[in-house]
Amino acid sequence: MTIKSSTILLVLIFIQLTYGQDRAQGDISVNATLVKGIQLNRASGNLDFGEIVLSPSTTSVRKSPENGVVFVLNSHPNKSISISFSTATLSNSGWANENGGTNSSIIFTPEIVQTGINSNFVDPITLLSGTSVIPPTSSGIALMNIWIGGTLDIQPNQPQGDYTGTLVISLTY
Amino acid sequence: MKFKIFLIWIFIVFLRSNLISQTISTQGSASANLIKPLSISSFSGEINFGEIILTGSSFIQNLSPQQGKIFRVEGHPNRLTSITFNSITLSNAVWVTINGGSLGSLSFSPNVVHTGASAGYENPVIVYSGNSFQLVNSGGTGLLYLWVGGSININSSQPQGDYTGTFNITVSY
Repeated sequence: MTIKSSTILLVLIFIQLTYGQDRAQGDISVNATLVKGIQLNRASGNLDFGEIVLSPSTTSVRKSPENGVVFVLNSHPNKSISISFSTATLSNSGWANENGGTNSSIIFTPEIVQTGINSNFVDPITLLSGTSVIPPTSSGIALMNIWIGGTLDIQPNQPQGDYTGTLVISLTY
Repeated sequence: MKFKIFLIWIFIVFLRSNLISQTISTQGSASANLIKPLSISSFSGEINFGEIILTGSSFIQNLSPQQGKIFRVEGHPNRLTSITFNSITLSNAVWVTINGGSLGSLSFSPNVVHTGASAGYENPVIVYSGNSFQLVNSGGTGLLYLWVGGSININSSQPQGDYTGTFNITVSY
């Protein structure tokens, strides 16, 4: 009787030890998208209109994008970039302070185009402020050549001097 | 003589009858603790760091457990359950295959807490791999909610792309 009880007890203990253990596993995907920051590097050119002889009438002086400044944009593949810019105001205050004369300003109206990955001025596409573009991808990097020119509106009584100003172009994902 | 043989026969029959009908009775208790098996299931959330803009500097990106993945562990009430997990490596290999660019890897260090039987983020308790916790009895079911967040270390020259990996968490009695 004692032997039988012990045997039953051992069996029960064995069962409990064997079946009292369990294990479960949960799996979850971990994701992160590392986005290349937007880079805009000046490749060539400038927005120097050079010397302009004043005339008594209103004059518009244009510098085409092809003859302006070229920037190369690097960004994340297949990611849309919105572009925004506005006119820039050039001032002759630095020159007038140094040389005397009248302080004044000129409005610069930018004209911007892009040629994709082509670094030559081929098949330019106009970029308007407030629009978005997805630059083409080359070797894992989105790349776009941006060409900037523009127009200066010179008034009939525009004071002379060296005019300078800053054009701000914002590129955002 | 015949009478003697008859008596011997009666004796044998009686003896066999006694032997055959011998009954030994005893009492023994039998018991078994049936243990509810462990299960771990996806409850809500995900471990997705989203888009991270690369800055050219190294930095650590955190995802709090509250913003991460919630697992629901079910098992035997009040049963001590050990929890194990490890850091994992995320890779951008799939993205590079599609888009080009450089291969990279990221180390994901998990940050795990539990909130007992509460599915809300209340009184979180930090869980280190190898720790054991009692499953909280909730209506006859042992419960433990595990919240998984973590951090990734991004190097200054980390290649861009979609990084992914699989995180495993194991619970066992």
